Amino acid sequence: MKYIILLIIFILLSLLSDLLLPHDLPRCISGWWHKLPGFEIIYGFIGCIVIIIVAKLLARLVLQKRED
Amino acid sequence: MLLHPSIIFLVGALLLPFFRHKARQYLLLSVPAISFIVLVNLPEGQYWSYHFLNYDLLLGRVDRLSQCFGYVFVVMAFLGMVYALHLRDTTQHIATFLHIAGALGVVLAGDLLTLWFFWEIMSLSAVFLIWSQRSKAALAAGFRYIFVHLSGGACLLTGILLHLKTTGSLDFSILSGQGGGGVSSYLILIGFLINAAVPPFSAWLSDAYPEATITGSVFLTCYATKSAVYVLIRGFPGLDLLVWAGAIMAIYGVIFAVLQNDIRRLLAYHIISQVGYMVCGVGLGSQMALNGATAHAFCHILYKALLFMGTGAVIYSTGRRNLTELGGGGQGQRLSHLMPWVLILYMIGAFSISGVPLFNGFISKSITISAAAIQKQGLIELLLILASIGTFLSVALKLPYFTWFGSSRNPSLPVGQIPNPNKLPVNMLWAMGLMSGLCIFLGCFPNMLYRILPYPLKYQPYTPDHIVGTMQLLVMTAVVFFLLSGYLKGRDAITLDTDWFYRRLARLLIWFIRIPLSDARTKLQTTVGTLVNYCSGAIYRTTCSEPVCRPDGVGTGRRSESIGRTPNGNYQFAIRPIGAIGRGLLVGLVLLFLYVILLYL
Repeated sequence: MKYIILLIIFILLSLLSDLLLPHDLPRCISGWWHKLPGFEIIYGFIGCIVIIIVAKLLARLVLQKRED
Repeated sequence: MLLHPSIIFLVGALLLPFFRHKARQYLLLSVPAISFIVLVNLPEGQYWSYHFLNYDLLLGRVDRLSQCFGYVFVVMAFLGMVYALHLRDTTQHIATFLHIAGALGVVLAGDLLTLWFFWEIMSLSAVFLIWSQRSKAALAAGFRYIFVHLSGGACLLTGILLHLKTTGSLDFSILSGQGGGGVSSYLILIGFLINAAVPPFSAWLSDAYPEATITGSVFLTCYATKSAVYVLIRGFPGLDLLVWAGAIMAIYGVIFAVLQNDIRRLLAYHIISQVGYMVCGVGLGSQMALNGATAHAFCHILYKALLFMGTGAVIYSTGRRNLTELGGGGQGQRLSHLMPWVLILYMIGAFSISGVPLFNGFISKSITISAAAIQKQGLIELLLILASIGTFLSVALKLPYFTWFGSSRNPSLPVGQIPNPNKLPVNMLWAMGLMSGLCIFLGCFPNMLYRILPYPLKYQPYTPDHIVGTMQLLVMTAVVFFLLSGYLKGRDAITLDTDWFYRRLARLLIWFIRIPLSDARTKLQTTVGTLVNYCSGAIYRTTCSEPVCRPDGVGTGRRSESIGRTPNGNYQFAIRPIGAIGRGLLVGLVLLFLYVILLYL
């Protein structure tokens, strides 16, 4: 429970910082998505899930065989 | 003192068998140290140019790029030797020195032929380093390594010779724009890419590195792939193909790493991912991107070696290498209690590779990512960040969690008691400690690294946006990991990779040689044999090994004399005059055939 509260505080702080802190120029010009507040949080979460899903899918469909 | 650093390592390798015990340990440490001093004092320029068969060879081209790679190679050699001090195996030490000598030769080579020569020395010595493990799997992996690398070397040589033919020079400079990027450039590129472990040529890396010895892997991870990155920076900067190849490599490595069970195989797939960053940087081509590739290579050598040292220490202590067998707990103790220092030092390496602020990776990875951003390659930048997320997931979360902790959350893990761990030699801890110190030092003082990069770099990694952004990515990754950790635990399974193709092919080839071709050979042999028998009439034997051969000779119709048996059981041959004519005819025919062939050749 304690961890969830910490997590929420962290997310709120990050959103705040995204709105207040100056953004690095190169990151902003490379794509419209960087300007969204909290982009890294969303990308981190979803990206990680995507990696795990893709890896498991690949494993099941194509790659893995039982070690014998 | 103008000396090629490779020579120092070669001489060291030659002297090694004559030193024992303490003296050998001093030799092991002093060779890289002397080499470092020599390298630092080599001023920029071109040295050791020899004339060989009409061509000019240049053994020493020292400029900022070669120096940067040279420094890190030699520093790694020293720290790796500290790690390997306890080894008594002479073969490994000699092979290691030769490998490092080859790598230094590649980095300082000014022309293509020298490059190829040292390239092959690197490949061959690496094979012996793999074989030093002396296990069945290591033998097989070493053979596959030979297969892949010598093919790569042959490809490279073909490309070099073609290049020589078309341009007339062996000069090692930018190859990508030459003559419209002809076949020779592509062949050379393929040769380089094989060593850089770009998929689909990457299977050798994850195949061979986990099978080598504990100390051997630490060395192997550094030199072959990084010298390939060096030659790519030299020869093919700005090639667009490399940008996409690099980005795809980065993701490919990470996805495979997430699936692995063997801890060193996980790290080996990871190497593919990190080299992907470097290859992508080479492809982007701007000065910042090339700086990024070099800086990343520099830092990667350090933290990858640290990671391999850590896992090597775990394997040394427990004798187990799979995530399904590690973790401990239950009646035994968790490894986090038994090996806390290794865990801490490993985590320093893991944080470095993930790009946590204050460590190595933060200052080097982000140069490449920023270069991609500046060039408006948004998708590439996203892919590289995704690979970063996967890196943190596999190396800094999955591996340590299931190795050092792991049993309380996942009680279905086999919780056999880990037997009393072998005591770690203290030099291993020292090596890891020094390496970690270097990682943290570079992380905190990035300008120390930026000063030796080939091009001037005005990049400030510690901006608030960057720090906060990185922390956000990593924290969310950790959250997902802890939510889904059950899905990520190790599984006893083999992951197929592109080497499935040539393993299958090789098996098919061998089957083909053994069965059908061999049958054909036997049939041909017996046909010719009976033919000869026919022509020679009455030469016949009663003892024969071929099942088809008949004991009374062929070509009946002639009266044949029976073979007499001498009193002590030997057989005699009987020769008849007509048989002699027949044989003469046969010999005459054969000679005619040979004469005709020689005439027309």
